[in-house]
Amino acid sequence: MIPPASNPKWAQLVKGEVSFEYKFLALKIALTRFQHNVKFNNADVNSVVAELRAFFEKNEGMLADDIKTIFG
Amino acid sequence: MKTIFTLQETIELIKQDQALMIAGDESLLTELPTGNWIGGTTAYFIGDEGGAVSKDQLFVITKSDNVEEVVVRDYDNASVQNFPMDGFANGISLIIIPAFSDIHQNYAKNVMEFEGIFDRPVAGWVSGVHLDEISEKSPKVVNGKTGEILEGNAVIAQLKLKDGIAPTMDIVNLFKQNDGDVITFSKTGFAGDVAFVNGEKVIFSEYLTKNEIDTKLPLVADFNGAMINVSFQEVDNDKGVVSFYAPVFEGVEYKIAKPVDNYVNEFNSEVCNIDENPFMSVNCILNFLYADLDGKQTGDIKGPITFGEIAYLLLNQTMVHVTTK
Repeated sequence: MIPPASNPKWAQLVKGEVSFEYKFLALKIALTRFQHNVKFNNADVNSVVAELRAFFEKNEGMLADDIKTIFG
Repeated sequence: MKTIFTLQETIELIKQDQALMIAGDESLLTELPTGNWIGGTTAYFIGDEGGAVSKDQLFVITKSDNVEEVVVRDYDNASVQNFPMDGFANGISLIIIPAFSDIHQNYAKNVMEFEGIFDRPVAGWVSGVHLDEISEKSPKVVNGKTGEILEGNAVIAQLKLKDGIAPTMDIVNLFKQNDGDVITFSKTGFAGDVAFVNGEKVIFSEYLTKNEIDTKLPLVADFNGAMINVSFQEVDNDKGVVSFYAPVFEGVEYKIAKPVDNYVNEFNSEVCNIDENPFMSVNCILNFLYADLDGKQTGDIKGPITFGEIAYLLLNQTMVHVTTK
């Protein structure tokens, strides 16, 4: 179950305010890209959260362990 | 599983539709019949007998039973950004790009912005040449479907996996960040003159020389736990330019890698943690040279030795492996 976009963890993730030991290689790289866009390209946090959440929806099966780690 | 084949054996594999990805010398690749395969030039492998340099044998990654369909095509520099959208929902994209080409630079700098790039594993390598021939020959790739030998296009095999089969891709990188200076760059690129060391602007070539940095050790960035290397190609103190085998990215924090004491031992220790034997893996020419892998075994891991590895991103001095189960 992927938490809704209103869960504050999403914004914390894309702003780099929290960090976890991730398993899925694509998540490590994609999240770095999202964080870079927020930090250096002034990307809108809500838009980036939507992109990150869409990534989770598309890869939910591969992200099972990481979802537990991040959201409990 | 056997991976090194003669020309005749490889021709038979193609006729049986078993060959998927073929690495070897251009003179052999041009002799192969058309089929559902992609190829690239290299003279270096980790084969059945360990590290080897050969111009008269081919390294063949064969089709796994878990693969249902393969679609092969090539993309030019303008269209390469579209390849992720052509992949299968449950699939893998295997890619080979010729070194030193415009598409090599374009892919490396822009791949993270390609739409759909993270929809499935994208694994592959950058083709090269024997280092003795680097000034005479150019790296090539082969579209096995058409038989074309290409030096400005990327070739891609889109694999569709059978229902219930999932792909896994990961990297083995023995290099970790040291505890020293934080290095950043203000421009993304394969070369640079200026860097920021702990925030202070420096001429990077002067910094490397003054601090006697061992440039066999890569720069390492921490991508949320994935250690991403950028290897040094040349430090030109006369021109004040440092060139790299992969791009440094604007704003990303790099550190020089810690030295690796014994590459083969540490590599073998790391690959023990891989659950399944990968059906495809690649490793870097710089690891082959600096760790003197010629004639040495690296566990059960075999694959072409390349001018760059691809796991979504272009990587250096890193092993990429893909499994399906």
